[in-house]
Amino acid sequence: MALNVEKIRQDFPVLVGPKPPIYFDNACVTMKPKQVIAAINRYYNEFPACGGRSLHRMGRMVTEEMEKARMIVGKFFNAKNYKEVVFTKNTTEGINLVARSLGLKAGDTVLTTDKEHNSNLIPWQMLAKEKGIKHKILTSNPDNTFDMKAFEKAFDKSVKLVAMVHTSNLDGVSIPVQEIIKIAHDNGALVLLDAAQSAPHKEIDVRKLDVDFLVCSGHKMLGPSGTGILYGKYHLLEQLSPFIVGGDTVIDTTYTTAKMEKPPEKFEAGLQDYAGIIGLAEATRYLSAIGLRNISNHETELNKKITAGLKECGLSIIGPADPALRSGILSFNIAGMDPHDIAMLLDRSAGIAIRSGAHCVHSWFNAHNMKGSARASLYLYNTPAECDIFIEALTKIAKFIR
Amino acid sequence: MVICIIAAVVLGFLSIFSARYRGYAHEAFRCVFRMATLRKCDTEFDKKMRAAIVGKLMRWPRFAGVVHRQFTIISWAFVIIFFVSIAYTGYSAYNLIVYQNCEGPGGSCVFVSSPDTNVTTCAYGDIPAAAPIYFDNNASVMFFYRDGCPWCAKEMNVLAALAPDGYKVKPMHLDIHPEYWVQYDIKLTPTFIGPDGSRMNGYHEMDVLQSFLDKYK
Repeated sequence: MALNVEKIRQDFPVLVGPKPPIYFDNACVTMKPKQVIAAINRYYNEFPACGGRSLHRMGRMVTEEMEKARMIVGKFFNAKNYKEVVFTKNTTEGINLVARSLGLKAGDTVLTTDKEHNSNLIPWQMLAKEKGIKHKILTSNPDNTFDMKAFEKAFDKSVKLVAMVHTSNLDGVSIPVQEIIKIAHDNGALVLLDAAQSAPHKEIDVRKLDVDFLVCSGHKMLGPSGTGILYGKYHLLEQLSPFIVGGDTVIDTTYTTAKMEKPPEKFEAGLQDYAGIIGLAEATRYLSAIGLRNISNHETELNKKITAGLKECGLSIIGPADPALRSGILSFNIAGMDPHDIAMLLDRSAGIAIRSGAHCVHSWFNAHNMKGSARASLYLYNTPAECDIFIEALTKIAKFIR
Repeated sequence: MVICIIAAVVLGFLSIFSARYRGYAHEAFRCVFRMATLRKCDTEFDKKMRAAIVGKLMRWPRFAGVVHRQFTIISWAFVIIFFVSIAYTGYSAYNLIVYQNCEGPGGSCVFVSSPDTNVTTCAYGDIPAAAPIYFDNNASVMFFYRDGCPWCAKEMNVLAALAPDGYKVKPMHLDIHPEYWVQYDIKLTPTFIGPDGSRMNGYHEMDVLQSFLDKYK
């Protein structure tokens, strides 16, 4: 079903007005609908109290809203049990939590792709240094798609975890996750999916995928910044040791011992970002109402449009030529131009916001001897008319400035 | 890289008053420091400035392209213009302090304070061409004046009004005798110097001038 984008845009205060920005930096942070802003404000206006501790009316309201938020998010991913949802600060924290809590030992291997965000690279580098784990990086195919044969060959008894980016923020390419999870499980490895770029854009059914851990960020899916989600199978969460400990993670303490809470509370130390979590739940509800499949189709159509419109500009696109394989992301370079120049010129000349640089995937750019790229990333509120302006502005830059 | 030199000066000054400019000023200073130590500027400050300028010029894409490509040359031109104008401003400020005149000795501009408005301005005026009746080469009070000085012209109107009562001054025309500037240590015009060396600088109304001249009548 085609999206009613004009109606959707009315929900985003920043996009309403005489000269709204053309925002194509959605892989970094998305705009927030008024429903999410209202949900955040509701906490501060109506019950700005402590959850899970205080027994007064407002305290109970916070506890109830938090439970409700967990259920909504659990439903968003079709989790078996809403207690499988742990609220984090962001994707990075979720990955670090798993990395630090899984109990990986010297000699254990973690498999990643060669296109991981620093958040899914540095934790394994650190564990390799500190504990002696092995970090094996799988090289992608020449068009940046996943090399399944190399993946299958990479397994031996030491592989304990496959930690991979579901949809790359570098080029928008998704990995064949269902197949990967099956192979990993057949080889006795767990799977941690970095869904920061996929959860906001495509339907994810954690039960159908049979994924062990999945992490994503609120700020990339219409939610508030400083919020994130870690999904984990409950029996696995029970086995994980807590990452950060303190208030609300324990049932009882003595001067020498602590009796830990069960998941998810044992991972949520200290006072939580209640307003943010309530806002995040509202964001997932908003996305579900519109339909992730509709959003995904819309982005792909827009990407096809800009890819075709810029065909004559001499862009060097990172990833496959077919836009259908790059979801809503167009990562590119123009020969003779610095990506930062492209981004700044688009901003100053046409009010178009895109990202430039290494997109926190420095390792891939260094391996390919590239400085970075310019990246346009689309979302549900972007329109074909905005794409036309983008094509026109970029064509001018490519023709006259370089 | 070159534009950082101007930016460091201008933004450094602005950042004293506003935090908004401090980040940019820091980048610009870092860039200048690296340049001065023969290293490449790594802040990309110049690129940001170039993009900001070229972005505004994209309405004329060909012109924007030229500016983009020749940005270093254009930056150098601006740097030279910037420092030349700073040097001229400094020179004028020096003249103002020393000679009360932004153009130095013999300049045609004099800073004068209007007694009506109390505002100091750089002014020009015309001196009457014919030898006035209040000029007498034997007078004891010297009157220093010059062409293009409005307050000299105005003072002459006062002298003309006093002349029927026998008030005369010795004409000391600074355009004809520029050596008087130094010889008599003239800082501004008009200036009156009495036979005892006492001075009265600037324009004065009739009653003040009359009392001064009365002392030597």
